[in-house]
Amino acid sequence: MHNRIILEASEGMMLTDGKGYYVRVSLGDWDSPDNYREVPKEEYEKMLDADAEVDTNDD
Amino acid sequence: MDNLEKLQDAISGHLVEIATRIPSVHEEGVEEGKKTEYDAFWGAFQDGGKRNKYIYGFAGSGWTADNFKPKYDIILSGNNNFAFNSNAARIDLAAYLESKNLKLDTSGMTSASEIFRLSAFTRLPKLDFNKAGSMYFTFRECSNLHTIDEINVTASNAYNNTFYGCTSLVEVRFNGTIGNSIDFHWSTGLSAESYKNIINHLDSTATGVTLTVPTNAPAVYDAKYGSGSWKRDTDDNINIKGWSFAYA
Repeated sequence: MHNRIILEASEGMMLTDGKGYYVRVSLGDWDSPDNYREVPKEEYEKMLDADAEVDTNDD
Repeated sequence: MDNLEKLQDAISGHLVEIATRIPSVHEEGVEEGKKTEYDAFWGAFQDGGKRNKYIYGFAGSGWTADNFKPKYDIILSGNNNFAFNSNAARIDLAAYLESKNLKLDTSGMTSASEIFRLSAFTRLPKLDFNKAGSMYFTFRECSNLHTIDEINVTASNAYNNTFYGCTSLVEVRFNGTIGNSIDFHWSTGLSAESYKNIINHLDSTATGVTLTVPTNAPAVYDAKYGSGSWKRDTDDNINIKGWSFAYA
């Protein structure tokens, strides 16, 4: 059995590796907790709103 | 006008009158006319079946279920970005093509970027992306898309937001090897069978890669394959230890 490190975002927070936002990550053998930081969920939601605005304008 | 021409005109006039007065003849005439127009349009648009570049070719909301009725195989070769961008034909494209004995041939594509962006298709047929490389936003915001019959890929295909906004996606099947990070978190209705297929096609030699799924994926999977099966097939699967699994 491969023992993985599991990272869970705290209440009201998300984990990010700079590429995406997650509530939980099961780390592969190459991965490290240092690759992730916690950010407030608001930051994630602002990013989604910004994305939606780009979509509206983009066509 | 000589007598022969007058006679021809008179006969034509009578024939038109007969055709108009006899419904079945009239209808056949109308249908024949429609078919002639259909053949003429699609023959020109698809170059008699030889066309293989459709950059923005089927793009736009003007394409609907009523008029998106290709006559020939749709052959996409090389770059065909935005081929179906915002195509509003909310149809099962796979079923349509099957009914006409046609195919969508993507095997020659060298990029699959944004080809189905914002299209309304509900189901797509087999897609061969073995040579496509980039699958940047391939199915971006295909919010009606429920099923992709098959996606053929190699370990080289790159998935940057490939399934962005595919909120209705339930069934997807891969053939080949998924060798780069891939994200399905927008597809919260993805089936257990889809997850099993995805997991079974993850490149066992890949490292530095992440499979991102909706937070409900383990529950969906376990409901189908038994309690603990998601953990068994992902975290505890030594064959894919190079993969991180993220839940969003």
